[in-house]
Amino acid sequence: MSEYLRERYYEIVETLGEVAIMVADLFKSILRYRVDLELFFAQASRIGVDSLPVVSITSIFVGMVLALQTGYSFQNVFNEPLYVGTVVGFSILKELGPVFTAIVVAGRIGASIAAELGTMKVTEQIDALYTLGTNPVRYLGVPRFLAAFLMLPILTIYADGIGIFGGYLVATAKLGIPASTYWNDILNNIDIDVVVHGVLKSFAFAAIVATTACYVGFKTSGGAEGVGQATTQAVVVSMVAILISDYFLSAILVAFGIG
Amino acid sequence: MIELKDVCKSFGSRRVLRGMDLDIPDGQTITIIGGSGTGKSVTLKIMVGLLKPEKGQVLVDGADVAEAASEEELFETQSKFGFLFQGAALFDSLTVGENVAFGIRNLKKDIPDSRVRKIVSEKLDLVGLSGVESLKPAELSGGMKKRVGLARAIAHEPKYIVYDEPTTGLDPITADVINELIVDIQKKLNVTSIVVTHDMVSAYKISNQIAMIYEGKIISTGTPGEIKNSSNPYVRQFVTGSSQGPIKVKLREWE
Repeated sequence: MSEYLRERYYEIVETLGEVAIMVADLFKSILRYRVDLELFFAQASRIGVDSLPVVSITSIFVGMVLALQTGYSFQNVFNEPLYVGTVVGFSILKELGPVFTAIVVAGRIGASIAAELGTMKVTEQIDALYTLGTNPVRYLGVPRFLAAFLMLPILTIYADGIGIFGGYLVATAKLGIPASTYWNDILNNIDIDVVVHGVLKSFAFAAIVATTACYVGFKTSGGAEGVGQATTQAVVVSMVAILISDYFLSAILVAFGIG
Repeated sequence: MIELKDVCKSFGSRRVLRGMDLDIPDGQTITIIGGSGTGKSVTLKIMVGLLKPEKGQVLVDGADVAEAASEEELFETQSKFGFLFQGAALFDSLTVGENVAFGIRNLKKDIPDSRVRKIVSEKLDLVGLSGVESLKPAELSGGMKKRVGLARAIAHEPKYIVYDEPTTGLDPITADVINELIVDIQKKLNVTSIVVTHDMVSAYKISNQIAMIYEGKIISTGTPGEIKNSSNPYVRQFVTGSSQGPIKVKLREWE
């Protein structure tokens, strides 16, 4: 048993070390070399623009169900649906917008990055890059990391808007709340630092998704089965890491008075 | 000239290379033969700096690949090599033309686009293909992929060309065509070729020297004729392809 634990411990330490080396390599490449804009824009469009439909659908329904549940619950407690706008606004801007968008992107983009890089690894394309004078972290990792890092916060702001709009639809059409009340509930009680709170977290989530997917992709071995495992691992690890880090990031941001 | 001196490499508890010594003089085609999993491909990857040995020296024209101080220095040495991978390893997001141009653009900067295009079509001509620049690798057959892989490997005019099992997975006729291509390129470009294979037909046809690797060491080297008539029982067993002899391959893994 202790033998088993020791091996797992070594494994974890080794993995963390390798991740740290890759991240250092990423930052060194970003700072020292010119980023290939063509590759960056291709990834930005894949991560940002192509994610719009799924982010729109998930966030509008999140906003709608949130308004519905808040409205009914408060109706039970206070006999009328009070503060629906405030609850929807706070929940979406601080938590659900950034977290749901990050999870959708982890599923969509994390999986595709891991599968793509993993396939390149098992078919020796990564080795081929090296032999042709190209650092794979710079050529493949940097555009993906930067695109995720810049697009996820933008997607988050977009998702915030769509979610609040979803809440508005349900609040006015289903709960009979006047539109002005819904918007005043949001505007009077929510400051800009609430939005900043959510967006700052989404930068961290983007780094988690991109780093995990790139690391797992570059480490893939064992043919088609290995690629499958890498893809699953990228999604599962990013999702768990997003939810765990969310708690700590929120606590830290609140302690610093942001949101 | 490439010199491997006492090179050791292991993966976990598996010791693949155990003190490998090999000299590769310029202008020759040397073939490394040996069973599956004996470290042939690992030797190639160590030679071009894709893997680092735990012990020993890998000298390419006197410079130690394993001791390269910076990435630039490593790329400098790597630019002397053209590598044909087992599955060709073409970049499937790029077209054939972009694949062949990749090394030129990254290893030999400042070549104008029109010149790059000309080199690409020249190299494709040299491997017997033309007008395929705009195809994607997925649209090519196995033999064509190898040809494109070869064109990509020679595009930046390397001094050494490294072939990892060039004929594996091809039908005998296509395999022979690839063999002829290797000999042809050797003559036309006057390079040094290092080939890893377990295809003896291919080894006899293309080599000036054959080296046999067994248990992580070179156990015999010689001309194709010498290897064919070798008295070394290990070499004899391998070149005749017999399951009877000193090299034991288990029939069942649990035995």
